[in-house]
Amino acid sequence: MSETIPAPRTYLNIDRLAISALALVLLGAPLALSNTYQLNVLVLMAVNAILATGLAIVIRADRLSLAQASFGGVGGYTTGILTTAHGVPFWLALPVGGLLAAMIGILLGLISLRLRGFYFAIATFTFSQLAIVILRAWTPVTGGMSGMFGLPYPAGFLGFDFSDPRQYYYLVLAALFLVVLIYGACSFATSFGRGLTLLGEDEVLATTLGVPATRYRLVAFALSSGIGGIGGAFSAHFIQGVSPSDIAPVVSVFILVMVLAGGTKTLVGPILGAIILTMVPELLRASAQWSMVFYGVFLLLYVYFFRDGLLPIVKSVFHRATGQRFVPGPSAREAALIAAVAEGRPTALQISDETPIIAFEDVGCQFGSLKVLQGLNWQVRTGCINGLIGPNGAGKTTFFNVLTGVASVAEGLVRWHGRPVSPVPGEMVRRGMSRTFQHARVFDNTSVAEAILLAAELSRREVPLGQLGWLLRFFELEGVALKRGRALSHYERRLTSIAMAMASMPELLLLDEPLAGLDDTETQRLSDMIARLHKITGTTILLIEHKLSEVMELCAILTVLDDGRIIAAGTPKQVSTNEAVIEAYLGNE
Amino acid sequence: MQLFMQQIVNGLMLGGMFTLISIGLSLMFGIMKVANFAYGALYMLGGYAAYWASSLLGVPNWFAILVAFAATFLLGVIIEKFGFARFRGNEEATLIFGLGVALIARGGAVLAWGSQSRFFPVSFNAYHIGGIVLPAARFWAAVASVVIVICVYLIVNRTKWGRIIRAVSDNPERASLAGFNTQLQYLLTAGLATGLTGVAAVLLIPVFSLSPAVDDSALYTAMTVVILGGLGSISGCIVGGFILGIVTAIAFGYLPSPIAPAVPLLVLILTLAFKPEGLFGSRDRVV
Amino acid sequence: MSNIPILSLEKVESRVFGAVKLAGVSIEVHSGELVSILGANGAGKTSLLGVIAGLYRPSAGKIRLEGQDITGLSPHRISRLGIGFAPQNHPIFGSLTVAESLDLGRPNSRVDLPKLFPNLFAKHKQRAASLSGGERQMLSMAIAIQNDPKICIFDEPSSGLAPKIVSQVFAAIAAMVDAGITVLMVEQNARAALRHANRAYVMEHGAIVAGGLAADLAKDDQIRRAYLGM
Repeated sequence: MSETIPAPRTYLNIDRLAISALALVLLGAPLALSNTYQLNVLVLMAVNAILATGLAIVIRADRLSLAQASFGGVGGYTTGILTTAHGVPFWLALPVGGLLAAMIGILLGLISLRLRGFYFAIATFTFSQLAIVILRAWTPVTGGMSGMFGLPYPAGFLGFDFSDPRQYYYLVLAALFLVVLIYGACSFATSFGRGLTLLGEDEVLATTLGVPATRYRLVAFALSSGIGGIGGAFSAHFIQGVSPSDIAPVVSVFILVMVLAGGTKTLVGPILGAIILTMVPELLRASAQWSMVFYGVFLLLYVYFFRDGLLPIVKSVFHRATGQRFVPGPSAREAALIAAVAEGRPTALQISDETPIIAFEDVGCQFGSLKVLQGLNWQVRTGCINGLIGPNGAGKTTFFNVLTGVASVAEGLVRWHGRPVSPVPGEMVRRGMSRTFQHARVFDNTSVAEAILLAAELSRREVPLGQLGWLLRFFELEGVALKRGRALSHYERRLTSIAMAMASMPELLLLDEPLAGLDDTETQRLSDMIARLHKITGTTILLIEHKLSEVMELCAILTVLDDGRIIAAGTPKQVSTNEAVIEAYLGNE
Repeated sequence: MQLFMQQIVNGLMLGGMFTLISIGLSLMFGIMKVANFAYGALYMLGGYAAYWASSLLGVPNWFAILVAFAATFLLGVIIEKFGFARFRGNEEATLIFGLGVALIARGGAVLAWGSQSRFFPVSFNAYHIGGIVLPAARFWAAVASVVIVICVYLIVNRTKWGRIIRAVSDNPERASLAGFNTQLQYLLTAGLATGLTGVAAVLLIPVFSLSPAVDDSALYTAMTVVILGGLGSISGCIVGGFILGIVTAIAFGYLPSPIAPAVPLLVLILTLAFKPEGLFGSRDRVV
Repeated sequence: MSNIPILSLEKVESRVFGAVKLAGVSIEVHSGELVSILGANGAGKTSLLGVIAGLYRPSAGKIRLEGQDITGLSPHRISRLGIGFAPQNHPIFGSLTVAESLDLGRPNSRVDLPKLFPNLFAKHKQRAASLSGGERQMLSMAIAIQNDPKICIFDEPSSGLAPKIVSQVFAAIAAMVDAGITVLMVEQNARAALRHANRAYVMEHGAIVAGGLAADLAKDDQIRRAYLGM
């Protein structure tokens, strides 16, 4: 039943290998080069790495920004103006530049992040045009079309002299290191980062688990643009000048290509992308136009062939050449959860509040002119498995969508423990209500163990690790604990999605057609599991199902929906002998 | 007052032309639900096709328009077949594909033809009506633009083919079940949309000149008009075009020229901030 | 009159991700008949129509339209060869008006549309998205009978409709059959379907478990068991 969980030390972690190799190369590079031109390119590449890593933060949130170079321009111009016209030292001007870029990012984000992805792309594209117009027009301050010159090198300290390209390079590298730390925080090291990653994988599921999409994207974009500003400042003070042509939209697209080339799946992906796409045109001595064509071709190759970045291709080539497969062992978190499986104990829910968990009062819902639900008066029976049944098109999924806030109420009230509430998808998890979806949604790139941990974390409800370990054991998922969502069978996906919903220890669990797509054996097994789950944890369950023989066995109480109205409610025996119900299912004469 | 009326008239002529620049994008958005970032590049390439046909082969202007139409129609069919059709449903991939094509087109154009601006021989006639000056080239370009856009409106809304492509756009699976070859319809619509873009470029080169760099301004102008008017609405595209035209003309008429270009850019940003669905669009396509 | 069935399925099988959706299904529909496919949710009715329509390829078996093999052809080809489909979900073109929806092909030569669907004609300038559920089903059927198809296939025409509207829908279907249009319909509403159909098949777990004259099946307890699980 459960396979052996791989021991962490047996497998090589290619990501750590790649990062170490990269660090060595980056640190050693200036020592191997002596030509000033080459050193200049090196610094440029390091600056690009900063811009790319910053941009990657917002790309992971599933939004494409076409303005990263413009934020670099904001940073460069700000520090340029402060240092030349106002005598502010570079080290003071730098954070100001970054902050201003971040604030403009927030403004732009407030306007466009709540909209569909393409609007954000167009908004950033337009902003980059606008930035050029403003910088060209504001001649007294920005130097107009020709830009600014004579930007000073950053003041040296501790014997460092930043007019030396090598030392400037190490300075930028130090900044890059900090930026990578921030990127790490936004990817996996913080709760925010983990939520952001899930948002990029499956927005609907992430939102249901409690990730506030727009708010997180705003923070991601602010960080992204702020880092852009910092990178731009370093660039400007190295070449000692900044002009509007540095921030043409096409430059922002170049930075985007770097991020896509390296991929956002690893920490150093953007850096790799920056290296490849800065070096290759240099090595080919490509003109600006040929570089443009090269980048364009690269984008097309990306979108046709390697949307996960180049690293997976490198890995598979390596695998084919050496026969070695690099599979990372479990992360510390995953290992901890797996360790908790043996000792895990379930915690039964304490029912403190006797008022009905959730209730409908005259609720109606419509899509356009179509009335999908009408005059619903209903409450869930606490401490039972409740069933919601009815013929196709009766409105059962809309019923769930109204409960969870995906569909809005046109009339009537939804009450949570007596108090009227306007359900919002992410919030209901915090209150104690989770749901699964008809289509067994899981995160394709996240392991089962990690997904359960994240579901608990995102709900902001205190859930002991032992509880989660028990869930993993209860749903018989230890054997696939480290498998990513996309490698799971349909049955395993179903189990995982229910485990994720239970991870927040909800008062009320909504299951949308949990038995759909399962064969007879699986249907029986899952049915039994649901019954035992309810018995052990005391969670109230409401399920929609079409497999009526299972429903009759599982549920203590049934509500029958037909044509948007409740036509019967009662025990399975009462409901199955109810004339109106029989007519609804078998049809009227 | 005179200056104001002149700007309004300028704005109307500009608006007509903006509408023509945008109609192709409106069709791609509305019917094919595609965010085509290669749009500006197609405009630019259409212009060059006509320019070379006219100056190298010495064909008359009206033939150059046909050449532009044919060239961009073909390009549109190719990028639909090998690009957008593959990435249908994946917004990010569609965007990146468009960007890739745009970069190759822009870089390639400069390599092939240099970055200098090209001009068509243009008459410097102007009509004078009641003290208002209407340069002939602009005037006729604007009139032709409006006529073409109205024809497109009529084709989409009053012909059988228009009904078919609207049905395909609305519900591709149902359209398939009703006997329509959705792939073919998408190809034809893409071809028509980009063909119109080529025609726009030819008609408007005399007014806006031609260089590889026009792709950016064509792109954000078209995007602004389409978003302002509402995605998928041709009448929105017309109204949006005229509004943008008038706003732009007034901006260039009254503000110093370095600042004036900011105004049409702000129109897009303000639209997104306050009414992202545009004048005639529906809210559910936005969020 | 030829004895070749208008539509025949021969041992059609279909799998989705390894799970069996259709297990050796064989059915026939003859000219002028109204045949109904009955069964509970998940029985395989939708998969059956999907395979006939060409939305997915069966893993085994053949589908013939008047003897011609149409297995695996694309949906629009199959439609052009003479099958008029009215699907269950998203049955209409919301942004077209009623009149425009009915002008996508040649009007059916056997029926008088305004007489068949009077309420639709009263609203012919309205956008289809503003129609009620029952009106949408009627419009979908009206779209399906354009171009004089050899057979019409309706997927759960009464789904989600109030009883009064259901009888209107069935009356319209009966009128079509009277005018000589052949109809195959998948229906959840077993009683009404059996009242109007000539013949019916009952499906369970992707296979046909019963078939025959509608009148005979109406008396059979198997139906009740298949639907209510008891």
